[in-house]
Amino acid sequence: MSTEAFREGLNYAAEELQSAGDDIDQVNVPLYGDDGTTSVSEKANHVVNLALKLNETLPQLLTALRDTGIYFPGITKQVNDAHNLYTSAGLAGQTSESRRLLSSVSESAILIDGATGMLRSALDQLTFASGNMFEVARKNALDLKASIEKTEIGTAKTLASIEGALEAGEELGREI
Amino acid sequence: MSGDINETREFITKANGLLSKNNLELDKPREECETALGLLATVLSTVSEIRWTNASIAEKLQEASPEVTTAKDHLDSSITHQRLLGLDQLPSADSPGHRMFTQSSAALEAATALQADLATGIDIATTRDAKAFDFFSFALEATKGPLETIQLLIDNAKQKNTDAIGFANTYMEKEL
Repeated sequence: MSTEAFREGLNYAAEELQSAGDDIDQVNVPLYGDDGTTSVSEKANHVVNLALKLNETLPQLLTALRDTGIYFPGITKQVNDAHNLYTSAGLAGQTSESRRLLSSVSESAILIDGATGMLRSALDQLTFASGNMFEVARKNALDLKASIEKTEIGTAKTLASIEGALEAGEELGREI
Repeated sequence: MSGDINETREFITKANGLLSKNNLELDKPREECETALGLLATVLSTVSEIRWTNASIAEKLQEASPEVTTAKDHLDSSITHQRLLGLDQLPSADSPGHRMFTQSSAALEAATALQADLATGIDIATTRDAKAFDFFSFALEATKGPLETIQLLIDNAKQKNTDAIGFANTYMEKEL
């Protein structure tokens, strides 16, 4: 058996690995919503930055939701006070006009109450979902980046070893 | 009687004032809702971008994966040939044959690790992130609807307050 067969095998392996490395490193892939091109590892960095952006925006969103709720108790009290004042003025059920008036104020209070409940439920749901999300998104992005870096290193390492084997193979061929 | 009327007018005017103030104060949670909806849109768009970028990374890693497998197969077959030639049995570590075998084995080991790293990357970019983001996206979408409804409820409450003020003014003009 000649040395040619296994050197050929090594050459094929090197070609395939080179092609795999090109897929990972050098392929032009557009970024989201952009015609620009970037490699897979650059994309992985981009995902890390997006995860950080997510971690910055989510607390702001939760704050905005909490701030929305701050106003409701005062607003409800004001409407109830207005209702009491109208009643004190003796408007309760006197005329159709006064009945409509009081019913309108009561409906306003009910609507605000509904908004308060709805906000509380939305806030609870988002707090529960995002509490876990901060860490998961960040960890996944960093893990993906690390995995791609290891892949790049692995490709280079494998190619270097194949190259070393091929050089030794050539030397062996000359000796034979 | 005129004292009573004055007192009634005073109560109604006070109540009207409270509801007018209430309408102005309802603008604050409405604005916070607007801010929250804007931030929600940013978070949703960031999540979409992460998912899109991850899918694009996974696609490239998946393209590279069979090439690495083929390279590994070629390395396997080359090493089998080298064993058949007895390169692994050569006594001298300095001989090109021995060196070739050692380097080829190192390449196979590196390619095996590379294959595992690629699989990890694909898993993170697809399964792991999908699991996390599916739940989170659901929560985000579930928050968007109530926020829009809260704005609607606030608008309706303001309308009810305005109606009440209108009824009160009409009552004062007609009855007092």
